[in-house]
Parts: sequence; structure tokens; C-alpha cells
Amino acid sequence: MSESNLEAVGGYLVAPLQQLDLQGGTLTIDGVEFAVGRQVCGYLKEAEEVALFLCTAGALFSDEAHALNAQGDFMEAYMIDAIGSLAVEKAMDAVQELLAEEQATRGLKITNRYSPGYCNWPLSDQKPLFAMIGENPTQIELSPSCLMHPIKSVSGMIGIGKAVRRREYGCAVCQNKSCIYRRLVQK
Amino acid sequence: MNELLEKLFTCVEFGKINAASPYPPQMRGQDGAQELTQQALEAGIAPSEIMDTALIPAMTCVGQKFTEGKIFVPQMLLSAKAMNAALTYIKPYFSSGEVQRKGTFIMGTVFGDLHDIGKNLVCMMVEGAGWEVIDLGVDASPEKFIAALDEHPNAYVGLSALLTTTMTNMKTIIDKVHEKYPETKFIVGGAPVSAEFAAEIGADGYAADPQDDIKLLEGFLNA
Repeated sequence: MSESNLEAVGGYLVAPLQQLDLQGGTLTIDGVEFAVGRQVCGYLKEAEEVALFLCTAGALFSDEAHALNAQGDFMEAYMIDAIGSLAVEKAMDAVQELLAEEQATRGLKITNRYSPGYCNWPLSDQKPLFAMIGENPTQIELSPSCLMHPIKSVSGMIGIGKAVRRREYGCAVCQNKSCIYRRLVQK
Repeated sequence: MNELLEKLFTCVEFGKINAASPYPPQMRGQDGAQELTQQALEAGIAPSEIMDTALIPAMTCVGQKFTEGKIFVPQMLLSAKAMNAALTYIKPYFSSGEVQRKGTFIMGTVFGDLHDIGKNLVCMMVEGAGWEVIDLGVDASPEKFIAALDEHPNAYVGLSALLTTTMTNMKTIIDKVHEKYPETKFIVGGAPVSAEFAAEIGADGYAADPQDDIKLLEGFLNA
């Protein structure tokens, strides 16, 4: 594997947040309603705009993990898979930093990033999200079951506004108790 | 217990695959599961005794430690590889009938879903508990499960799904399989799956981790 992963690519599309119904847990962007849930609505309620983002680390991690599993190197495959997850999050960190810098020049701040399938935002909202982003350089494909290809990809929304803020990392507020990336010690 | 079998137990428990394997560091340079299994067979120990007194109990111990949070997935995977190294030498005795397996377990990630880590762990641990495991891989259709049951009609079936959008496919598989094999028992698992959901879709059990699968399977045998 090369030192630099040339397959990693990500970006965002900024659109005005037209409406946000905190009680109903929905928000409207460009005439399309997203059922993000009350939790994510709460985090985005001060936002004036949202950045719809996509980012992928490419297929190399999953391909490599698959090959290692096939030859019985299960632990190595698992490690590569975990590195792939970290790689896409790190790549997205860089994309998010760019967004933060860009918005700072306009005097605006950004929220954390939120993704369908987390914080009670149904995974099925991947469909309107991908439809709205449309053709894009990441070339991430969405399966009918809302799985992204390459697997090591992330998608979602970031709020933009004068009064929004970033929060502490989200495990404490997430209900997914069996997530393998959960960073809370279970008592 | 025989000294060789005791050492073999330790190798599987701590994931010492063979003499060349550098892991775990405190066992560097020592024989691993591969060499010790060969030595045990050469010493005339019955393969069924190797299975029943060393390999299966060692994997039970690994599964237990994982359930209790004392070890993590990478350690369990190394134990599974050590177990596989040992099984290479035991497998000929499965086909000859000298070593009896407890039954057959057909396992797959449901169609629409490509997540395989959990599914693979279950396959490894159930095989390590003395079962024949038929791994149908990921994105497995109802037809694939039916074809596997055609070959192993008495098998139990495990279904894995990691997405809320694919967990509903479990019900499709259960319903289609039951049309042809109404008696087939199902165990379901995966991050979004719960015991309530399992009951709702007509599964016979919910497994939160591989140890649960093994307990449920033993329960089916003793029922």
C-alpha cells in the first residue's frame, strides 16, 4: 500500500435550511423533507444552512480485508477493516476543517457531522440525501438497502450558522449500545 | 489432562497458531496449536479426545472471556486461527466418522447486506464448539439457504444483518425457507436486531454474541 491513499475523496454541497420542525423531527432543504429525528433536529435548530457531505476512503481497505480473510488471516483482516474506518473518518475530518475555515470567513460556525443511521436518524434517508447531492466526484454508490460502495464511506449533514456550535464527541448521546466503535465504558 | 492437550488448550486460548507465530509474545519460539495437534495424534491420542478435552473447551473459554469483556475481537480472531490450524489435522476424522460433530449450522449475512465481521465470528466460534458450519457468505438469498438445507435438511440456520434496512430481509428468508422446511429453526443477530424483533419475525432465538448462538444451538439439541 502506498503512503498516501489517492483513492480518498470527499466534499460537500451547501444549501439553505428552509424549515425545521423540532417537534416532528423533520427539516426541509431545497423542498425535500428529511426525517432526521428530534435529536438531530435539536443539534441543527440554530442552523441557517446545511452542508450535505460525502467522503470515501476508497475500496482498497475492504478489498484487502476480503483477501486476508480468504487466506485465513482473520485478525489482520479485522485490523485493515478498522484502519479503513479510521481512514474515512480522518479524511472527513479534513473535509470538515475546510468547511469550517470557509464558513469562518463569512463569520459563521459549523456543527458536528450527523449521518443517517446514527442518533435515531433512519438509514433510509440516505436516498433523499444521495438524490439531492446527485452526480459528484466521490462516485460513491448507494445500494437499494442504503449501503454505500465503497463500504468505507461516510455521508450526512453539517449545520452552518452564527449561533450553532460543535459538541463533545457523540457516543454519550447515541443509543446504539452495540456499536463496535462505541467509546463509552459500560458499567 | 494429558500434558500435550493441556498445552494445546493454552495455545488455542491465547491464539498461538504455530511455532513460527510471534503472538502471544510470552509464547514466542514454542510449539503452537498446529504442532501440538500433530504431536497429540502421533502420540496416539484419539482425535475425538483432542476435540472434546482441548479444542472445544479452549474455544468455550475464549467465547466466555469475550462475553465478559476480558478479551476483544482481535484476540478472539487469533484463537480462531489457532483452532483452524488444529482442525486441519482433525478434519479428516470428521469425514471418516471417527469424530462426531454436534450438528450442522448454516450461516449467512442476509441479502442486501455486505457486513461480514459478526457473521465470520459466529461461524468460527460455532465451528469451534464442535459443529459443522456452512458459511453462505454475505448477500445471501432465500434460495441460497434453501439450497443449503436441501443438502443438510436437519441443519439449524443463523441470519446476520447490520442495517435497519436489511434486518427486515430476515423475515423474508425465514418465511420462504419455512414454506419448504417448516421445522427449520432460526437464530438471528446483528447490531440493530433485538430479542423482541427476533420473536416478531418468527425466529427461534436471538444471539447478542457468538456464545449465545452456541447456547441456543445446544438448547435446540436438548429440546
